[in-house]
Amino acid sequence: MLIDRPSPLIVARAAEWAALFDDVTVTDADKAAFERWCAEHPQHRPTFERMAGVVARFDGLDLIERRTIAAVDSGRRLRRRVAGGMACLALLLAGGLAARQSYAVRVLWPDQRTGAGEQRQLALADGSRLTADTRTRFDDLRNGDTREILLFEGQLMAEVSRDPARPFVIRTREGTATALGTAYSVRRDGAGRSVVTVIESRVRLCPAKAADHCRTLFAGQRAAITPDAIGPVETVDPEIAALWTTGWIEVHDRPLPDLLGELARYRPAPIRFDASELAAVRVTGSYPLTDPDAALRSIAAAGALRIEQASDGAITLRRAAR
Amino acid sequence: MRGSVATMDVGDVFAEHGAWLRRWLHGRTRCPHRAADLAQDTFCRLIERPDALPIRDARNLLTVIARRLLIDDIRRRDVERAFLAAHAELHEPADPLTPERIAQAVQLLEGLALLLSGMPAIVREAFLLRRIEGLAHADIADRLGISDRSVKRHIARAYALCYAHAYPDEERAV
Repeated sequence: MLIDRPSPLIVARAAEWAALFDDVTVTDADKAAFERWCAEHPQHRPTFERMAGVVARFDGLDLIERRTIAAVDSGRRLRRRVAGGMACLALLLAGGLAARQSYAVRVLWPDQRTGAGEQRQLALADGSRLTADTRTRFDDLRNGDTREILLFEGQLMAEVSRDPARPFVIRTREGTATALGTAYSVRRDGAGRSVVTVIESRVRLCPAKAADHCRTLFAGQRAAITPDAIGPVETVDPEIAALWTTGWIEVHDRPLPDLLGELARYRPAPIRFDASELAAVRVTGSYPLTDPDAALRSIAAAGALRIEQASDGAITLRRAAR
Repeated sequence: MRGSVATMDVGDVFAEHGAWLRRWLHGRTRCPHRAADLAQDTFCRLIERPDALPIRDARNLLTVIARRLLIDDIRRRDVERAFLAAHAELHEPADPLTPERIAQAVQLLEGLALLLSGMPAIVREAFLLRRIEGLAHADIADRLGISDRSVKRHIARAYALCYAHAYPDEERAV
């Protein structure tokens, strides 16, 4: 866990360690010295790990992406003289936009991210637990005085350990959800809303731009935060609403397109279907989120639907011809 | 005429300076559609400003935002062009491009390109030889005609810049 901002000296030292471990030749003595350095200060290891996490993004690139980076870089070198002046000017002028830019940068380099179909559980040092759903990105901004998570995309479930002196907050662009008790989830739905579902106890919701429009939700309630308001409160079954953290979804007599939309979030490649054709198909049952293809096969078998898989992994669902 | 009224809101700014901004952008993009898109994005950014401070010098603020968007736009186009070219050259027949795939790759690669653009030339070169081509430090030293120690120094600098880029100094205002 990162505690406040590391000094430039710590960043520089962490970078030296990273460069040492970057090469193929690392001795046991190096590793032992690194462990001693980590033990010297609580910021040392987290700074090193964050740094390594940023650089690791390059290692996941495939051949085509690598070639793209190399091509963009060589093209850039030719143009540098022309563009340089313009970029400098823009940087000088852009001071007032720093906060905005900072958010844009953090979205690209989150502390934690999960891929399609991945769920991850994290035990936090304060005894709380977080479950990150598929395609989720967030920053962990907790320090000695506050416990704050910045959610960029996706869904989180927080099971919060009690600490009245340090409120636990999940923040999104739309607003904040502050734990007054124990378990709740926050999901950014991609349409400018953050949907909060309370599993246990109470949560206080505040819109980002209307601090006097806060509202407290109780267990089994759900509402969407937009920057200016809290939406209408719905009632949900808390047990079913929390089921995704176990890798399952349970639906009762819901239109099939709703379920397909959920499953699509867990697949790297899209699920295609004609919503008007399938809207009349109702589904009931439990389906594995972490194996959406198995879920699709069972849905298709039960609903007399045909599955076509394209070579890029995209799946198309159609009604089977009678 | 320049928006010096302290209480001017975005609607007023749009009414007064919208056409001017589109002309300004048209002069730089030489394309009316791109100019219109970028002008629209500029006003969106203006609305989304985290600080709801009154707008003092509207044209100055608009050009600051528009210039940044213009640079982003050029970078994105460069990256997309390079990605499509690399894909055309290297892809397997069973690996067709989908719009989703292009958008995802371009977003990631654009972020990496922006990060790289903040590195001094020699640092970036050493870093790319390590990460993109997978060379060992000794081979990078040979390739660049510098010592092993210098390679380590440049790589360390690259790591520090990666950190500074991903974790900027400003408060993380949402």
